[in-house]
Amino acid sequence: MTIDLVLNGALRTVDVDPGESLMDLLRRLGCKSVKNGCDDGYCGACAVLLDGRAVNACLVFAARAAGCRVQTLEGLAREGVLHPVQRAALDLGAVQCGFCTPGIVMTALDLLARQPRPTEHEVRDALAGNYCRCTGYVKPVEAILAAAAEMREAPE
Amino acid sequence: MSLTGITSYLRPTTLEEALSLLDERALAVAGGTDVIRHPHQGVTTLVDLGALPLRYIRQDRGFAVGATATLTDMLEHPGLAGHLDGIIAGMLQGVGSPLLRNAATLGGHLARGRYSDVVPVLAALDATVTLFDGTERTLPLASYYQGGQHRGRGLITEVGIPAAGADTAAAFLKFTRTSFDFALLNCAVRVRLGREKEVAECRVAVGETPGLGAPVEPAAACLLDGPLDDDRIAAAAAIAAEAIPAQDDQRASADYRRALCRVGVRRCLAEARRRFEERRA
Repeated sequence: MTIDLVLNGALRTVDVDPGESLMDLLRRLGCKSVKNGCDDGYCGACAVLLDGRAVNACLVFAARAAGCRVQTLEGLAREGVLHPVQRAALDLGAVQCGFCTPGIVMTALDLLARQPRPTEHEVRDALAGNYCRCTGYVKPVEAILAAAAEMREAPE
Repeated sequence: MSLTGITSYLRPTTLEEALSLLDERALAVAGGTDVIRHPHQGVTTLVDLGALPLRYIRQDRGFAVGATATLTDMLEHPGLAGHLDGIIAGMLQGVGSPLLRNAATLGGHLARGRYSDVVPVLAALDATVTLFDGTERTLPLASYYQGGQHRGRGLITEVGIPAAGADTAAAFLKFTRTSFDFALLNCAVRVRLGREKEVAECRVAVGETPGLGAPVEPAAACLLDGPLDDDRIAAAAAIAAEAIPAQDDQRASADYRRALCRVGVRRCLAEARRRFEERRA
């Protein structure tokens, strides 16, 4: 079957298998930031924004994305300039092996769109579905708080 | 997890159309987060309910929650989240993760009918379920699961949550190994006090026994017409521990569940009492 979706701002018409997950579709389309960590909704490494909300792409049928806006990490940088959340993650040591980072960044974007001034507690709650086995979460939380502050000062 | 063997994915826009598409080879999909995780023998068609006009939360006297409202929609609805000292929001914050709650729907969750913190809370609140199977009917959530109705052909269209005033308090508690895991046991209570501060109405619901959350009527009945004091709370908790259909499974033994039930029901009732006292202060 064929569906239309807006992927990282561009209208795409794509063939999907009726049982295919959004994660498998996005990786097939070249969005390799969408990581297959567990394929079971636990790890959050495949988190993408579906109509602005962060979801596990492995738990959503690709066909459900028909007519929707889908955003992955690939769509964040503007002319080579990283998004503040990406920049902060790199600058503040929130990236070690990097496997979980795209999912954490997408989850953070969902949080910051609704809550530009999150507390540390709110950031930690938001990351409850994103596993990170390297950092112990301290650095990712710091990076998201720092990015939030920067985005408040210089909104897009 | 992509499913194999699925040959069509349909998105009906009316309930009648959705129902007409659901035969023995078809499965209804709401958020899809559970359907996509398991192979389904003999299923070749997925019927996505996402295009039906069922994603809403209306607040009137109580609340009407459309079947495809997500758990996040419920958490972010100020009225619903604040209802009865935030019992629904507090419970939902412990269900899965934000990523899951952004996709999982209330109707899908209830239709799935297993592993649920939502069911005991909604049962304690006397929630109703509206089903459509050609005609529409509304029944108490507690009876929806009796006789396996949730395995029937009817689609959940709406969940009703009755209003409650300052004379009512509720509480929920669950025991888990980790915050992400399903509960070993969970319980919810709702108490309405009368003029003399006597218990005028009471619900005690216990779940993951390992069966789905269900009212424990003898425990609630023993609290009626007297004060919500320590002795009566302890007695109700003991009755609940005896009355639940506890069984062994890989998560916990029946004996352990009864012990948890006694503690959980006692704590929930004490929490409800604390909330009444807070309001008076």
